Amino acid sequence: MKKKWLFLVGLALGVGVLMGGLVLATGEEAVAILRRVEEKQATDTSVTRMGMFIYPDAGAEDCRSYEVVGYAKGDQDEYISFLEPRSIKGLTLLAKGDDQWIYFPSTGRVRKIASKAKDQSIQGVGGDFSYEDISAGKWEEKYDFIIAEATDRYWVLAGTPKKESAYAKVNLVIDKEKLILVKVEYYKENEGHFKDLIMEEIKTLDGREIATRMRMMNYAKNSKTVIVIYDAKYNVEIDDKYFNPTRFYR
Amino acid sequence: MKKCLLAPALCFFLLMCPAASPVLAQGTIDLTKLNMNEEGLYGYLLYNLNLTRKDLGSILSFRLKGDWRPGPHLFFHMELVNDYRTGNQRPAYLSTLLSGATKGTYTNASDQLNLKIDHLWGLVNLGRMDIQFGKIPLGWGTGYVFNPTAKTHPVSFLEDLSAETPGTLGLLFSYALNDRTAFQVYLAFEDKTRILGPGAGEWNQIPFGLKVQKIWGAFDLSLSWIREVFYRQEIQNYQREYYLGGDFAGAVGDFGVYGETALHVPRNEEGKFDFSGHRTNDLLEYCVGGDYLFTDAELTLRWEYYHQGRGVTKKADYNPVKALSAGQLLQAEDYLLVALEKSFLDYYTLMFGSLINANDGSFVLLPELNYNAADNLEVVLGSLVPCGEKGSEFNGTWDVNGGELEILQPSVYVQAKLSF
Repeated sequence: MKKKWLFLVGLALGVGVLMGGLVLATGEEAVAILRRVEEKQATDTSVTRMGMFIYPDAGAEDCRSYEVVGYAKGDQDEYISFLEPRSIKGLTLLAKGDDQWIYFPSTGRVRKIASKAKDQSIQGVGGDFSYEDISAGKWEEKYDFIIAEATDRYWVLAGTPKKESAYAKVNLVIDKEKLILVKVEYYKENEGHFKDLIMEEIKTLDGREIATRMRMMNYAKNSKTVIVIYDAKYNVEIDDKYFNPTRFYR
Repeated sequence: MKKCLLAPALCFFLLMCPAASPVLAQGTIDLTKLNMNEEGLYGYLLYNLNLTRKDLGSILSFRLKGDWRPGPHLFFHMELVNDYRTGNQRPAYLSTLLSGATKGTYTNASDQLNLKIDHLWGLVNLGRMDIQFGKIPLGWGTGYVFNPTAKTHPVSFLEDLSAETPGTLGLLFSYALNDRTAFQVYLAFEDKTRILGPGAGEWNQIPFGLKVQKIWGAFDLSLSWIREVFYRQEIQNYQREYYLGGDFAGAVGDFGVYGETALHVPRNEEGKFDFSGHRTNDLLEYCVGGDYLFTDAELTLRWEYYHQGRGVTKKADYNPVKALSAGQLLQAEDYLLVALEKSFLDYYTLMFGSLINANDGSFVLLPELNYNAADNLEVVLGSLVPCGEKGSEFNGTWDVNGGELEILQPSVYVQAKLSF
């Protein structure tokens, strides 16, 4: 009896060590895949002109439309300014890593966005992208990833947050051949599978292959928000002021 | 103080100009090609109908905004505004309520087109420095409702139709040392009350502010030194007051927190700074506030506590003349603002707020339903309900020059804002 018990403990420990090693290995491989994807997409700077369409009912055609210009530097700094509709023209967001600020042109004031509020959609705009979804930074800095699934065409990387996050888990679906992120699945603790970000219409803009249509499906609200990239320029010189929290709105 | 701090600050920024000019000459790739909509005219038309038990009034407000970016380092902005006010919304309404007030002929505001320039400014980016000149909105401070460090323009409250910060004729220099540290200096060429009295324009009547901003971890901090100038009718002269200001904004756990303070630094008869004979509490004006998002309910809670040291704690000491002049709109020392905001059915936002006078217990309920009827059309149905004991600040009938005056009356308003 005692021998059997010891055998089971040994087996459990062995399996545990083996599984731990496998998780570690798939974790390293997952990060390596992510780095390859991010390297392919990496640019020093980018300027993008986008349309955003918010569908309160994902199945209906009725939507609110917005026009946005976005500047990015590296993977930490992002600047977004609303051009349309006129009611919020000039509303500007700056993300530097985890820190985010929003500028309201009517009051002339800048507000810092608190961590909890990052789960909220953009104030005065709404939609299914939260402040956290549009925050700057690399995936691997925010989540610990493992390879959850690998098919002939795709890798599925499952990520659990390293730091405070609105999400309990994310799954990244990556096209093996194109090395492009084609889908992000967002999971919440209570709501389970909550949202999907689907990348579509992969085109070449300014010499780079990118998804020009991003569709965020919100299953909890049965709504969707679509971002369409109209034009993009890469590795252009952008004034540092756009990424400085003390003057990005000037 | 006087010129000794102002002059070096001005010199510092003027000296920085030549250093920054090569940056302007070099130029960068013109991003404006992707940014065509940064130029053009836009604005809004706002109609507000206000109903009380005994009367009604309306406001038709028009704001025309214009942007022009002739180059990557130059930007111009203008805002022209006009308010047509009738009935209980006309400017002279409160004074006509006073018994014994002249019942003379009042010009109907709607017959007058007073398109005034609220903002008209240019902005030059010179390397790390920005120079803004013209009629500028100086939106200092992190407070949501109260801004103790905003000392350049008259304060309006509760009946404020728009969130726009009024413009002040002046110059604003800012210099970013790096991503986390910046300096700002403003010089205003008009006093807070906008009265052009004798002595206007003298160096010692120029309002100014100096500010150091620092981003420290999850917090944005700033420290400022401010000279406020305002014309006092009773002494027929300008009065200058100095303030040491500070503000912060950041997060503690899941709570967004902020605060803003202005400490009045008094001067003695010789004009020297002197705190003797003053209680610090009386010299302080500050607000602290925060917000919290209840994620599951998609409900936002906001709160803000406001202390004004020059206020009073006893009802008997209320001075309604202060309330009628632009100087001090609130009477008491301590106030609390609480608001809950909930978005629902995609296009609706319900806000339920209350401003509480923590000294006499009176309060104003401010329920508001906002409907985004279209991309550029917003319709608001709201109400203002003053509550409290007899003689309290928000629910009192005031004795002014022997006449009775009810400053706040229960009212309902409907507002439509069409942006173009």
